[in-house]
Amino acid sequence: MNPLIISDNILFTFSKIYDELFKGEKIVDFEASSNSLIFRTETDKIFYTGMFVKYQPTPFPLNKKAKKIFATESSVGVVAEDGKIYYLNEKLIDDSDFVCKDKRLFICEDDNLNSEIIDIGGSYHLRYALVK
Amino acid sequence: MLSKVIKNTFATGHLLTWGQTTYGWGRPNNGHPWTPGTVANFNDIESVSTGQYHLGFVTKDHSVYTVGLSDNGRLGQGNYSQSGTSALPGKISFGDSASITSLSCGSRHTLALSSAGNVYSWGHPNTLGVIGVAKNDIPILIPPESFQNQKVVRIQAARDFSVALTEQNKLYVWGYGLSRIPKWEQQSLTPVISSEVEQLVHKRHAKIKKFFAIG
Repeated sequence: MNPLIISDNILFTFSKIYDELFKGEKIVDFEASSNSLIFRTETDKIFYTGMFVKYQPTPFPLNKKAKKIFATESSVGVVAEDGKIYYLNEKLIDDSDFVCKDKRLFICEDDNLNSEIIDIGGSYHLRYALVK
Repeated sequence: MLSKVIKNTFATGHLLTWGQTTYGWGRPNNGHPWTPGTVANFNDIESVSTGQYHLGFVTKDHSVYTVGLSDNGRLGQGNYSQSGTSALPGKISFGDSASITSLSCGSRHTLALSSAGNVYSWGHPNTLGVIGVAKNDIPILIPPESFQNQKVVRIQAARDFSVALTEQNKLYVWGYGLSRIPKWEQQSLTPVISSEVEQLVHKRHAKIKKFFAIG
């Protein structure tokens, strides 16, 4: 077998991403971070891809309308219309010291019913949420 | 598929931070790093940006604060040291009283954009967009002529380079590690138009709405 040779020209040249699952649809929004990408199509479908998550665009596993999409380092997520954060491939620890760390989806539920997340994201090693 | 519900209290009007570094949370002694915690004393934050080991934010009155690792002058607080850190957010002074609207934190440098469309930078000398500055730990105005006097509308500080989009749909890049930008084979310490992006935009008659760069 021939060795796989990837030159700088291939790595750092624009290339079209695999679009079989959303062929013909326009991308209307995207968010990216150090290792991950999440995007929304014109029909409100959400896909994600990136290192350590998926190597081609994959539907985000949520049947709710997204108010906001976001990416943090190697993770992606959605703030849904119900105000909850649906997070994929992130580590979080709650007040009861429960550690969530795997490639599955989990919800970060806000106890404060009056709050609204207006921005969320982060690159490299830091994450943030800005709350209204 | 769903593994667990994490409970948290997201305080209204506040910035919460978490992550895998001991730098840049802005909330010392406030809980576990992987538990979102509130940055105290700020309830009027308009926008936030995180870098590799520092973060910054702009408040509603256009004040700019940074926190985290200060190496290379990336905090812009005039307190550069080889291994210093700032545990609490510190305010940055803009000598010409610029009205800052957004911030972008990179790996070792930071950019700020003013309402007039001017770009300020500070941090590692090779990332500034200006050659030969005396102090790199305070905001430096990148001369508007560097962008052909066009108003800059969006900025991004990546790992060791920067990107800026002007109102006239021109994408400028500068810094080092520019080989990470498509087909860019030379480095430029001052802003230059990205030829590959220019060609793509021209070919498709496209308007750049949004971009992202990290390196």
